[in-house]
Amino acid sequence: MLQDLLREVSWFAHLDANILDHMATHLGQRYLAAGEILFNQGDTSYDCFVIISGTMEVLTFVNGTEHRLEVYDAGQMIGEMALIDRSPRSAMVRAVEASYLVVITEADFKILIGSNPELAMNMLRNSTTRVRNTNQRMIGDLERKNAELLKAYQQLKAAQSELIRLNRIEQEMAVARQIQESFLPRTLAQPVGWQVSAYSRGAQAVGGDFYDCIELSDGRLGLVVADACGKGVTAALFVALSRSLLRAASLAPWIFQGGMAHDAESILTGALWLVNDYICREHAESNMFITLFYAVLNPSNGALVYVNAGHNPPLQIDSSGQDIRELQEGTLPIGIMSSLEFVVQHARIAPGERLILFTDGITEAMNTVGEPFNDDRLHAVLRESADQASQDLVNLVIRQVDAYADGAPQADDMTLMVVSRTV
Amino acid sequence: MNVEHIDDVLVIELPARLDAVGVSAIESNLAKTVTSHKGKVLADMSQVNFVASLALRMLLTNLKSVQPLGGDLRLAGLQPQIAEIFRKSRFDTLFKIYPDREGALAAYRG
Repeated sequence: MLQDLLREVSWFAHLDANILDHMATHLGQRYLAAGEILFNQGDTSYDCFVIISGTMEVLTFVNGTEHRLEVYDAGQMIGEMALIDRSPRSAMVRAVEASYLVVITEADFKILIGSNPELAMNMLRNSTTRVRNTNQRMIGDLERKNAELLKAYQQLKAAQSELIRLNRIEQEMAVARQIQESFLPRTLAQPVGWQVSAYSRGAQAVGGDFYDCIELSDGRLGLVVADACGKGVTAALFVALSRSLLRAASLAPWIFQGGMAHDAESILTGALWLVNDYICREHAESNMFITLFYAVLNPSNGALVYVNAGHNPPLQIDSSGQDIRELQEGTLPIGIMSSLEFVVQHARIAPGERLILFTDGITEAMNTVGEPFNDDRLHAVLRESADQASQDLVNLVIRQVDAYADGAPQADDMTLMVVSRTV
Repeated sequence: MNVEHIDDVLVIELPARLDAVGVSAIESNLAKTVTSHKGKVLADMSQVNFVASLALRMLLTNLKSVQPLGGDLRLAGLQPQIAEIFRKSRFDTLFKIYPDREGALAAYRG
């Protein structure tokens, strides 16, 4: 019976009948269920096998992951390498389905190849082909891995140069930020009986808000809070331009010529006319505008003369700290209409009162679900902290806004100035 | 951004959130639509619940582009908080603003 099966195996087709008979009576036999292991990688056994029926797979493990190297069917020889070079098994062999194999020991193998040179040649050919195939596969694998490595290297190089580029931009932005910070007054004048405090923080490295406190003649102070349309670099450039123009125009020599101090109205309208006219003339095509509140405060009597160019109306709080009123709105923002006439308005800050100047980055600060801080919350904080010093109130409002945002990214630049009259 | 023609008026319904992202999403399309129409434009803002300063700039840019062509850009349906922003910035003096779309269309007809 086994002789007939062996006869069908091409290896043995040419063997003499007596050798086949000898094999059939002497060869060991193995029956494997599906999934059963014939031998493991690293085993030191030196038999080889011929598959009579069924299918076997050759497996290896890389980093614990199983890789199938080959699949062998009926008629094919398996495990002859260990038999020939007496090395541990180079891979695991497992039955894919129920399989039937004959076992060829080293002694049987010697008889077989000695009895039939054709069989010996076929076995050599088979082994050589397998080594060649393995080599080819390894070379193919290496080439593929090489290509993958090359691609990964190129991606890494691209990422690195992108990183260098971003790093450079970041450094430039840090410098720009420092320059922009130098556009804010280094110290704020503190006239007797008054406290002036301010805070500004951009949503990005550079911002579109600014404040200023310009020391004018006769001890008067020019108080400015402004917000250029948008944020980031474009807005920052307009901040640099408008702040410089406004400060220069406010302090221009002509203001002090003729030995007479100019009145607040002409300082305001003169400086604002110049800034507005310049931006409208030189930068009309950009359609950029700046909302700006500019007031001249006379600390000696609390007189406040102001122009509101489209800015959030500042809040005036009475001495009880409970009555909060908006200063009147004024004209369009700077940069829209060159012929704009600035309406000058008047207020008076009485002892105990204060003025809150701010940009919409405060009231429109968003929480994590996209709802704004809004005017009501700002008013509530102001009412609850009526007795605070200016600087403490600034700190408190910013803390409240940050707590409300609760980590939500800052959507807009925020600026706050508190001017308190203590006596 | 919904666009329709009612008689000779180009009616544009602006989206709810006109922050920096919302503006950049519609800005170039809006400019193209408005300048190619060259005539009466109405921005229906009834859906708008947030406007950043960039949105005001976008409206201003479009107003400036249609006026020299004999056209106009009018606004309708501002929600109270949006009307507040127009009041404080005085953009309410730049645009003709109507309570609703019908009022604006009637005014254009008149």
